[in-house]
Amino acid sequence: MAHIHLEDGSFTLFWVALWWVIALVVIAAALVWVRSVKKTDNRKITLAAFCTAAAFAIFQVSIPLFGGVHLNLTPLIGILAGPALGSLIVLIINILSAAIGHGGWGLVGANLLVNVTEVLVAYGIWNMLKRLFPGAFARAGIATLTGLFCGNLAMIAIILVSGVQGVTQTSSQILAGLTLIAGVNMGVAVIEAFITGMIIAAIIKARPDLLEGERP
Amino acid sequence: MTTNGIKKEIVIFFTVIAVVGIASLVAFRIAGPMGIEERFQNALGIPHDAGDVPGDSGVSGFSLEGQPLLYVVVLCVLGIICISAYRHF
Repeated sequence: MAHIHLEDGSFTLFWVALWWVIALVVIAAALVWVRSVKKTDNRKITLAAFCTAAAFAIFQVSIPLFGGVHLNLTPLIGILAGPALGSLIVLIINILSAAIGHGGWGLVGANLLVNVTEVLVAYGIWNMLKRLFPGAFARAGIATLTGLFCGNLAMIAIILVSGVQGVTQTSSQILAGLTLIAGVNMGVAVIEAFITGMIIAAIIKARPDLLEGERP
Repeated sequence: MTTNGIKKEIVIFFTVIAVVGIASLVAFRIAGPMGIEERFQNALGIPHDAGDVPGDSGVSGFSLEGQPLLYVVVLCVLGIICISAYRHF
């Protein structure tokens, strides 16, 4: 998973405001998308509630791997809830996380953009690979890996563009350091790919109606 | 779908997993064992605060980020919302 683990004050006020504005535009687009559906499937709303609770619960737990990491299940959210509801779910998770002291308020906008990237890419790859990978486990796993990889790229891009206050390193030094973080994060992505693959395969076996166009 | 097709996609999946896993282990060897915040501080060259103390190691290395009490409260509220949504819909 990719999440910008910096304290408030790391970005200048301009960049904090800019990432927040872009994130709010994305959320507004998601809301318009959700409202454009004449009747939202009630099962999707229930599924979204469960995704929010599960992702919030797991997101706060530091796992003793690679020195301490955590999962966030954003690709699973994207596959199960879709891009519009998925974006709203990650907004809620980021706000609740900041509220309990996990991450700064100023970085919620930037982190939301990273997580929305993961949701959108995982959803897109999951649907794109339908013909090539009809099996749910491998398809969900590949979608998860790709989504999280793109989330890491978004994380690196946001930090490089914003710059960090009080840092004397050059951009290339920062890029090298962030690439290492992304590399370690991809190890966690492997675990998340297995988890997502198993959950999606189990859901398709037990309740294929929860995923559009899927059959056991 | 044929058994061969399923085998093929599983082989592709595990090959990707192996490549990503090895690359990740190499990155971890270079970066060294440290927590997420420390890793960010090192990557960006942010000086470590002298007052920093190691956090709670938790149970078997698993620990909570943020306020544990608030975590439980929020999780309970989310649980109630889930149950309500499930019963209502």
